Amino acid sequence: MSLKPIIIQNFFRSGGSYLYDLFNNKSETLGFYEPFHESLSSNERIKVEKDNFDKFKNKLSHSNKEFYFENFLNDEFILKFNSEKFQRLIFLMKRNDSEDCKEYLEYLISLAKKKNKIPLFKINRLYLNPDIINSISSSKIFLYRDPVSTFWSNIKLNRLNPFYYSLDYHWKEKIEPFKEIYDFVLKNKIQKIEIIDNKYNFRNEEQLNFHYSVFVFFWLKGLEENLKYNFFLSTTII
Amino acid sequence: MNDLTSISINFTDFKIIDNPIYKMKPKISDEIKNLIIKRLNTQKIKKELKSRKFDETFKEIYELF
Repeated sequence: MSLKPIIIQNFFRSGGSYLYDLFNNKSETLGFYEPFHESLSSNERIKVEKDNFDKFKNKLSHSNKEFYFENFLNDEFILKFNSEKFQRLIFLMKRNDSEDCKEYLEYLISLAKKKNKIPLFKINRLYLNPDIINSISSSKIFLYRDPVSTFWSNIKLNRLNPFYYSLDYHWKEKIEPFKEIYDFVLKNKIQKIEIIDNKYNFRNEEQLNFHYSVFVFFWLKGLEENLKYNFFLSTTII
Repeated sequence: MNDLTSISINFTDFKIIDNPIYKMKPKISDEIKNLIIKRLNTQKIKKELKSRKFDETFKEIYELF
């Protein structure tokens, strides 16, 4: 049996966890779910995730049967990498820590191969620079979902906060083209999404459209960058 | 997926969630539309979507630029 790794690259709320779970239920695979997740930075955070696994997965509408970080437990190399080296807010761009990221993924691959298993990855919710994924010999799946339902699913779960945090980071670092998007956010006084009286606080239709416009830019930028590489491309429609 | 890896999976238990909010389609502002055209390789995106027959699935995006 070939032990070629399987790497799933996907955006927030695009069906990546579902697909990961299908592969992970096979006895031939060893799954590494979101290997750059912030909770992998300390044993205490992993324990919180584990204690609340059922609650979290219900909130996320995930079907995952195995605890997300089951195969990362008690490993100093993994903790050190995630607590010290990895910068999480970079969206797709070239990274100073590319070599460290590659070394880290290769370390996880070696753990699976020692057990004679196929390494399975679902990469993080904001896209990792596909240069890094492409540098590893693997079967690559790029999953994307139509922007409207992805947009609403993100609003329900995270109110687009991860996108705006990332946008803020890119603006401070003067990384184009996100600076222009940030200027658009400021100019149009786009408000943080909150729930007031059981409704999202879109003051008017225009504000809703602004949020969607920013989101679609992220969606398309991700598609454009990932199309440069040899991914097996798939789409989920809900 | 069979040709992709040495293992195979099936999707027979996939459930379609019919949530009415997903039918509500916000509009993309002209300013962002222009930024998309200026900053992204829209022709390449269109070509790829078309070649994979996703031009119908993502019709709104395909016809945006």
